[in-house]
Order: sequence, then structure tokens, then C-alpha cells
Amino acid sequence: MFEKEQAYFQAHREEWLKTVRGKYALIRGEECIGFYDTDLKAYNEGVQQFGSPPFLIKRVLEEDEKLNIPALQFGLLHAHS
Amino acid sequence: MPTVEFSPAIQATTPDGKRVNLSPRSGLQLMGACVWAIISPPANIKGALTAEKGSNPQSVEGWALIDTGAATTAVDESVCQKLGVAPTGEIQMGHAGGSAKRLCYPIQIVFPQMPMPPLTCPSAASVDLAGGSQNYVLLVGRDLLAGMRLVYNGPMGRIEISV
Repeated sequence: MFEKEQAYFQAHREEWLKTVRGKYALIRGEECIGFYDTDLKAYNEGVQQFGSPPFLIKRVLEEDEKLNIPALQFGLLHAHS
Repeated sequence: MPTVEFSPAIQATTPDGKRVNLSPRSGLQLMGACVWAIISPPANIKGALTAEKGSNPQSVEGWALIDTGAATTAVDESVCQKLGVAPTGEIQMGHAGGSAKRLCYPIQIVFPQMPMPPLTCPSAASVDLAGGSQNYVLLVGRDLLAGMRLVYNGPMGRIEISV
């Protein structure tokens, strides 16, 4: 999923970091619709343009964000008492 | 800020097979800080989903665990499948063996016991919660907690949330 969008983002990341660092990019296919202050604004614009997902919302940062949830990371929620 | 109190009503089985009600204090200790949640597609795509699938999109109800260790809110993968929503992103998630890519989905969350409007999460990470013994549908992370005041009142066996 999102192979085209991720490749497009990757190809433009350096350029975007200079001008819109920290904003949320809204991308569909090989087109960037715009940059937004919040992911909710990006999402609402995506819905307005396309009706519903799929479309990619991704924050413009040096590295991709990584999610750490210790309860899942260490298997605590799946532990049996 | 209105405050709402939650005290999980939990039953347990004794060694001789009887079902007994746990005290609020023990129930809270066993269940953790949980609230009941109703998860559905965000309101602004329900029409598109209905037109696409020919039926009204489903909602899923269940326990949401308040997880102050989670930076962002995460939803069980099977819930996203039931809602029929398409993803809005993907994220690398750390796990015991390294990391894996997970899809993110737009969801709307209603906490029916709380006096607050529905919350829209444009990109909630999908994770495997249902494999656990407690069957949570949602982990409420610090992104949502940023708008709440939370008190874990262990001696009284309840959590208190102000929004």
C-alpha cells in the first residue's frame, strides 16, 4: 500500500524540509495536494477532494515517525495471567 | 471542566467455581484504566462508504484501555476491517523482535459516558489488541489524553476524567 505515494514523498522530502518542515503532506498517487498544520486538516481536505481514503497523510520530517507502545512492544497486553 | 468517574464492574471465578463480584479496587487493578468506547468511521466519510458498499457502515463497541505509555492512539486491526475504512497512512511500530509497518486508519471515537463530542483520529495506528486475554478494541494514547485531566484513584477503585 502507498508505494507510489511513499516514493513520491521520499523524492521530495529534502526539498520540502526546507520550506514546510513539520507540516502534514496530503498525497495521492504522484501528486501532493497540499501541506497542513495538523493531520486532521489534511484528512478533511483529502475527504473534500476525494470523498474518502485511501490517500496518504505524512508529516514532513527528516526521518519517518516511529510508534512505540511499550505495552505492545513488550507483549504485556498479550501476556496470560 | 466536568468530571466523570469510572469504576469497572468485574466478576471473577473462585477456585470452587463461583462467580463473584470484585471490589472496585480489585476490579480497577485487574482491568486497568478502561472506558467504554464506540468506534465508527468518521462522520464525513460515512456517506461515501454507504454509497460504495450499499449499506450503512458498522460501529464497534468495546473497552478502551487508557495507556499513558502510548504516544498516540491505536486501534485493533480487526475493528478497522469491520468499519470498512481505507487507510490514510502507515507507520513503523516497534515490537519485541524489531519493528513492523502498520497501516493507519481514520476513525471516530465516542466515549458514551463522557460529556464530549465525537473525536476524529485521522490516522490511528492499527495494532493487534484482540489477541490478548482482555480484548481491548482501542488504546487511548497521549494524543487524546492531551485534552483531558486523568486521575487514577486506586484506593477508591475508580478513574476520574475531566474534559
